[in-house]
Amino acid sequence: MRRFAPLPALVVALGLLNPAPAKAGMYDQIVDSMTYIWSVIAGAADTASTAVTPPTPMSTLKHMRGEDKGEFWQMLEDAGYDLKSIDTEVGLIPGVEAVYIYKRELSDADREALEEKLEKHSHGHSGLIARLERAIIYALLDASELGDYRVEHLKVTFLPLPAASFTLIPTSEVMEMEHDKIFRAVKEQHRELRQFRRDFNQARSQPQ
Amino acid sequence: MWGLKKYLGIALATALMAGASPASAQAQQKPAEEQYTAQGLPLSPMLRDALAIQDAKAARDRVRIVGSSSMAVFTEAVAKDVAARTGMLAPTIETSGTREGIRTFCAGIGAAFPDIIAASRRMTKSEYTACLDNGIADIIEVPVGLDAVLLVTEKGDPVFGLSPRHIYLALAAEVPRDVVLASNVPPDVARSARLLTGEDFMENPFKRWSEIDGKLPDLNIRVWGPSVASGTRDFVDRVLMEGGCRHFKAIRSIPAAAERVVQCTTMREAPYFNTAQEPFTEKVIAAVMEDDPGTLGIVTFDTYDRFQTVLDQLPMMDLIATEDSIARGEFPFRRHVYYYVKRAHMRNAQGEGVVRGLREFMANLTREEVIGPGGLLDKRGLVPLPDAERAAARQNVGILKRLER
Repeated sequence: MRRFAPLPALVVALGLLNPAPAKAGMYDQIVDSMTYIWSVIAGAADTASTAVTPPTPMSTLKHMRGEDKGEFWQMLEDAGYDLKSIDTEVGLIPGVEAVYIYKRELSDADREALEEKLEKHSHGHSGLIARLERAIIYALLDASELGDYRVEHLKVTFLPLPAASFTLIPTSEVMEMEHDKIFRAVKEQHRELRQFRRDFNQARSQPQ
Repeated sequence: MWGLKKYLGIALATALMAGASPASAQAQQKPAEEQYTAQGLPLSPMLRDALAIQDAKAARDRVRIVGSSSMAVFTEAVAKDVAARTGMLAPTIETSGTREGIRTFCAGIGAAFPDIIAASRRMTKSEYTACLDNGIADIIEVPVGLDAVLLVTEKGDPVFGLSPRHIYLALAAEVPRDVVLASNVPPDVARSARLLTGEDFMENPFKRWSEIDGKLPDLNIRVWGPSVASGTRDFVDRVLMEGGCRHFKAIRSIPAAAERVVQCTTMREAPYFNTAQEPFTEKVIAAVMEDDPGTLGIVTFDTYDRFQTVLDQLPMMDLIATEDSIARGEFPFRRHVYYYVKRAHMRNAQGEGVVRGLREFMANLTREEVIGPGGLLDKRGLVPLPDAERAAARQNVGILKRLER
């Protein structure tokens, strides 16, 4: 019983602090105080729950894709990377990480445009997180000029601490003979299919 | 005392003998490869031919400048100024366009090859590599100011805002099929687009600006711009066309940069996109004035500045190019302009080298009275570089800093 003693004291203190109307009756004052106390407790519980519950994959995805995605995610796409997966982890120390994979080789113009964007970003955002974001993009840009290697996977971790890990692979991986044969056969099939489609569409669009 | 006289006498005699010795004459007649391998670079056959031409001819009596036609007005002003200040013959100027200028500059060393390029954009890595391959290792890069590329129309014609996206969709030879399906094209065009199942791209069907975007006026798409030889065209390709196509899904799905660049920068033909050959600026302005109402022209800021009485500027991404917006970096379609000088052509203290006046040209070019605010180039429409960049340009010229890419 002794260990719950602080709770009534807290209720009284919060009740006294509650800015209830001066002219209200005693009963109304008690009800108002109780409502206020409940809202404080519920708010605290909500905050505590938010602290251990990471954003859902859907809400995270909303910030990373679409027209109104954040600047960092846009810059990642401009650097030639597309979102592959998002992992979220619920717990006392929640975790959220996104995996990006290499999709596009950058042209000179792509690189120049991205460098300009980073320059502008550095003028508008000077915080630690912003610097980390720029460092990630610069690392990808530098890696794109390596020639022999490229960053194939990029894992961006938001929680518990922001971090990024890069997986570099050689750009000219030697294919095994069997794989090379399959690759060439698929390529040839693709070429034939495109030609067939073009011929078909052309024939279809011509007047009868 | 006698010892000193004897020493001086021997030194003088040695010097005279060395000057007249057959060994010295032989050195002057050495084959090209022996003269230039000291630079540590292999000589290409083209360079050997160039050196043979150089041997046959005397070194030039004046500096030769090639390159950008849109910079011709600046180059002429600087050439006249340097001639007046130094008493040297005014440099010759050939306005073949930046790309062509860089190609001839990088073709070799010797009197047959140009000494300076006026470039309306930075030399690319591949161009720099071509220079190195031909033995041109020492290039001095001199940024001189800021310019911008913009769209203009005849004064009195409708003025409407555009973005790179609009320009790409109006001028590309092929556009994403899904964009056509979502646009305001006539029903028969939409029907043909629907029939092209499985195709990501289709021949550009847009004939009027309003078909691309309902907010744009119902005017025919008619644009005049520079040819591929021009640095301004490179800028249009890189910043407007690639910048306009970059975010389309169909473009993003092309993994190879080279393939994507071709897809984005292959232009439609007349009457939609009309090419003006070098020097292009006056031709573009003439076409804008004479063609149908609503005809647009791609020009540089200094050109617009000179023809403001007859031209209106179209806002780009809701921004207008002014000297202030370019200097502050607010107008996004701005660029640095440069001169590139071939150090191997400079005459040394002994008077050896292709031409005299390169050092004088650079020193004169980077004077505050030339590149500074209110200077010679500012008066002709080139926006001055920030103070620190001008100081750096002067310093680089002072130490003949070698370009590294």
